[in-house]
Amino acid sequence: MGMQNYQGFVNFLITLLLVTTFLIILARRLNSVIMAVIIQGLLLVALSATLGWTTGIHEMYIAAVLTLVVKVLIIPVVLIKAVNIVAIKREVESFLNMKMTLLFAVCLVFISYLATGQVIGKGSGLLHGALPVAVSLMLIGLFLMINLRFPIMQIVGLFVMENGIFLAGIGTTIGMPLVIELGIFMDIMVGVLIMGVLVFRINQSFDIIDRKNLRNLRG
Amino acid sequence: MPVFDELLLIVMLTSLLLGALLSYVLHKKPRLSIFVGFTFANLACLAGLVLGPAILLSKHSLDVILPWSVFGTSLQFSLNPLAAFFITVISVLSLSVSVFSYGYASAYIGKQNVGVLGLFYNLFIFSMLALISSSNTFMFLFFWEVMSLVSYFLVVFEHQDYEVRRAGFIYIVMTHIGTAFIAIAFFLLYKETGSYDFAQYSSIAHNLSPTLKSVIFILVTLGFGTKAGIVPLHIWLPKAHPAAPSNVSALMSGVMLKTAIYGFIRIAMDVLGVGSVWWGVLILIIGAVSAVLGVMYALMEHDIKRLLAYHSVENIGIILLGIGAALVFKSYGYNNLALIGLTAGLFHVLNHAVFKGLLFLGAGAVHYATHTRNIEEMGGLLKRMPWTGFFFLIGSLAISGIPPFNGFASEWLTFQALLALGSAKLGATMNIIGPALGAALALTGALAAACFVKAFGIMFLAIPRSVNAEKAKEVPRTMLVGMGLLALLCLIFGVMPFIVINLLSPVTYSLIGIETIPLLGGYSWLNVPPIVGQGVAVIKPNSISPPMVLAALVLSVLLISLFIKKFAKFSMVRIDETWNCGTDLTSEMEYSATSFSNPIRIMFRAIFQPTRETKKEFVLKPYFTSRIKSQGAIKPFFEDHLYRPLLKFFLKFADKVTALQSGSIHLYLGYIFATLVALLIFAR
Repeated sequence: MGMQNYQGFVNFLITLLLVTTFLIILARRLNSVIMAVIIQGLLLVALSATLGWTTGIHEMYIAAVLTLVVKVLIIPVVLIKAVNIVAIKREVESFLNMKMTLLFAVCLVFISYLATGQVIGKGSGLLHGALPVAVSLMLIGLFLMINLRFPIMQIVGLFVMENGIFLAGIGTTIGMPLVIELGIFMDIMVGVLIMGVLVFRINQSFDIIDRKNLRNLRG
Repeated sequence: MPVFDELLLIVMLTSLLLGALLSYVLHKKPRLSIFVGFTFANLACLAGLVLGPAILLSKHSLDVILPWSVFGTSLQFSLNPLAAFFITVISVLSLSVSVFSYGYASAYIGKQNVGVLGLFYNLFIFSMLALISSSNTFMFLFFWEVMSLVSYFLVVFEHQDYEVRRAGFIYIVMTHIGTAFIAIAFFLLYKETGSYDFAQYSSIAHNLSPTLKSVIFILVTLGFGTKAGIVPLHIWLPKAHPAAPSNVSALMSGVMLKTAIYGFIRIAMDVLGVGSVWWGVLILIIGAVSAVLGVMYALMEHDIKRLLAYHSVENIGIILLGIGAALVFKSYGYNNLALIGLTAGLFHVLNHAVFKGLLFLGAGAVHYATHTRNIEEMGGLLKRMPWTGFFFLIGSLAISGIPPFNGFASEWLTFQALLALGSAKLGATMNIIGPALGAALALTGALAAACFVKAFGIMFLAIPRSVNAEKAKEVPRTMLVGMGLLALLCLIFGVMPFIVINLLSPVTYSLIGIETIPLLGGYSWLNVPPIVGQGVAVIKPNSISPPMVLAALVLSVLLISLFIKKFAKFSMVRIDETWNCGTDLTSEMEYSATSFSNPIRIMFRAIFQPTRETKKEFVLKPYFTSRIKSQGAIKPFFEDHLYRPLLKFFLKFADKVTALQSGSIHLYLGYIFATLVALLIFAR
């Protein structure tokens, strides 16, 4: 089976990844954010499985399984638990309003196409679709971390960034060495777990976890 | 004898390091520490005193390559004629000061750690000598920084006093601003030439673009100017000099400022080669402004060491007048006219070191005896400290430019250089600027004389104004010897300037290609030679013979004293009562320093902007005044109009910048984000 047949499907998946990112931005309730996160994880699973099928690299399947376990099961479960434990308000609060946030995100997508367009030429296959979206995901992830108030949302931002890195990895190299992917997985998992514990503790001690209050710590 | 010279250099530098080390190790035994520390300093200075002239007379430079290298630059001491001359200047002054210090430092026993004084004192001289001997900018900057830091520690030696710490702070801030400029200039030179070596610069840097040359010139003017104390970068001088121990102030004022002059000449005349005309004009104007304002502010001071510090500003101005004239002539290609200015400047470097050193030592001796620096509390010291008074008088005459002392010789040459600016074919502007600056120099000389009439008169004449002054005793012999040496040099250089001019011959030859001898005079004459430049620029010959001036002076003094003895009658009749004008004089009736300088304060009130406040205390009605308090002050112009606004600006700016540091993690993330996006857009 040649790759050409699946090119359209892969591109479709990549586009959906971008769409789910916008879903995360647009979601107003913490639960729907987590749902979007799960969808994004599933899309990544599908992407790596498809690539494994088309290229015949079997390590891709391992990556797919790992993604499924970590990004679709563990992380969302931890996030949901954390939300259930602490959140009194289940609405997402951000610094910028919805319109501005969207505008910003669109600009970021535009910038990433602009920036990566220099690196890759036309007709470079998978790369051509994957890299700009990957960079968009990283930028939007970072932007989410800045824009959203709720500490749990920071970990969502980090999650989106990591997905961007993963996409860049499989998009550009058809699968990074497994060790590196494992490393990144462990990273984000530990991050999520620590966050879960911290949120729990902060909640126990202060009953509030809006990071606005962390400001009082500065000298 | 290069081997001998090399040995002398090593002896000079190592004995200073040894002195530093031993005097600190022995700090538990202060007397021994003082003796050892200053003896090693003296030894080093003697070596330097042989080394400098030996190199100058042999007309070869000395290179000593050290077995280390840094950043691919081999460390090397290189003594060219200019460096040798400055080594001589430093050694001459440091020798006398070190002799003086035996006695002076003993006053600190029990109060301060004299081991530390010996340590930094030796290191200070070491850093100056090493800096002058450096062959590359790297070592130069390193020793420059060592010198700045060590002198800072010396300034704050009496650190228990708040004012001293404050003075030290201002000093170290100013000196580092200067160092920043110098470092930028050196890095620019390195970027263009790919070398740290002074010797290589002079072959490459001559061909740099004029703009870059001018930028480097401005940078070194600002950088070295801060250290030298040109107006308006002088504000640290009147604070740091009084704060330091007197022997250190003598060194700081006498020779540390000169290291800046050395660096300036090295870069501006040696490395950069021929520059634009405006370089010289700029230096001339800076020199004139520094000279006039320096002496004016000095006149208003009643703290003897502050007064002397302002005179340092003045004398740096005079030195720069000579060097500025040389730069102008050099840029026009009249090297034989540049010779006059350059010789005048360098000669004044030595002279200022000698007489200012002497005056600071004198001030130190007076402080040692009376425990005050306020001249209003002195008076009548000449009877109690005749030798100190005598030496101080010689220093005062020398600094005022009065023959037969050395200040006269170099100032005379400076005048000739400025007047030559007026008569040479340099265009109308120069012909006007030259004599105008000459007039400024004349004003400076007159005001300096007035200032020292005030200082000497109030300090040493009339009746003591305080108990301390009344109880003053002559200082120990070592201190007198230190001052005596310098006083003797004042006279020798004044009567026989050819000694110095002869030594300067290889220096001027290396810088502008012309020897001083025989152009500038023989054994008993100071000449301004008849000069034919480019066929038309003719300067009339002009000569003066210092020995003859001396002879005339001696003769006239003899005649006047004979005349007075023969014809004048002093009546000492004083019988009291009736309207009481025969009453005995008391110190309250004396002319004070404030009253002496008042006419000048009023004449130049546009500059000083004096303020005065009078308070009357009275009993019942204003007619029965019981007490009048009068307070006067002059406006610190540069502090108010330059430094304070700058400081305000920086504080405001800093306040604005603090907003960046909000404590919000979102904002910090935002900075990273913004940087990333900006880089993605602009740095593709």
